[in-house]
Amino acid sequence: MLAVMMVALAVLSAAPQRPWTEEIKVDGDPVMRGLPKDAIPAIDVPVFVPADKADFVRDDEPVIGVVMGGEARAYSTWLLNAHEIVNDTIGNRSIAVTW
Amino acid sequence: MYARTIGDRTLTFGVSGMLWRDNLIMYDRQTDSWWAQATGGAIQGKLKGSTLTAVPSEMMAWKQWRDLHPGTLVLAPPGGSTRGSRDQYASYHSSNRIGVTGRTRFAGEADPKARIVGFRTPAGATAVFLDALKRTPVLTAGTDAERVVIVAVPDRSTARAFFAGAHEFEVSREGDGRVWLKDRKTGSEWDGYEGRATSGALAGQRLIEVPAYLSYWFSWRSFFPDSALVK
Repeated sequence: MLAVMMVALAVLSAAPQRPWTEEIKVDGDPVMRGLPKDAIPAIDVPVFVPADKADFVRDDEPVIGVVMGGEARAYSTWLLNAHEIVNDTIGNRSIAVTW
Repeated sequence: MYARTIGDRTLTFGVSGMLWRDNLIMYDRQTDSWWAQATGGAIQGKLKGSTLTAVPSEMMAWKQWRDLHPGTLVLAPPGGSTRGSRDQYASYHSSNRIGVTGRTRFAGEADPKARIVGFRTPAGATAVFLDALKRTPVLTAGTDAERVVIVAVPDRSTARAFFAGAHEFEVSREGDGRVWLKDRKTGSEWDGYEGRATSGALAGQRLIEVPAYLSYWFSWRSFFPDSALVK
């Protein structure tokens, strides 16, 4: 995830990489800020399509899969890399999908 | 993957833009508490001390998942599901490949269709064969510099992984499939599912979880060809 943050940081800053700043210490270790809040946008209202309509996912790319209450859902890791978090609900279970 | 409901409250999470101990920090929109992504533990804010329940998930190639679950849905890119929307995203996939330095790797045969539990750490990727966990529910991977303890879940369908730090773990006891560990130095007993010491000198200590994914060896190997194997 550190690598993803670094890439996102480079992409989002117009100039050479802005420095990480220390916010506070938690349990003796610093919390470092590299990006503004929500600079990487989590998905809050996920939209799904059936497998045969998914021309944006490659056959050989990794997906995170879950089956809940008989329903199968897949989240491609390239979307998870770009958004980090998907807030989803399957049946009556609310889940946060991360990678 | 975590359950977002804690008690009677359901949280929604955003990316804080902060890191702690190399962990991405999430925040919940309801209380603005900070959560470590790899452990599901709240480290700051109103909900500090709470821990999200991990939900087992699988990782494999899209084609394999589709073959296993023909009726599956798949997450669409926000703002459109056309092939062109893929070009809007920078290619983060290659940056998620962690370099491997000085790790011991096992040569030899492994059944491509074998179920494995895979995880990634700064030292590299590791695949633990589920068959190995059927022989003994606790295994250790890695080197002294970075040791990971892997504990099978009660029904043995997958496993959880934790950074062991300096601890050397062995099985203490089992009950209904649940496993308790013992660390060699203090003899403290640890709940193997939660990675938390429940008695002894270290009672209350928690291990840092390494997110682990159930997968197939051929899938995991295709994404992480330099994986160490635990068989």
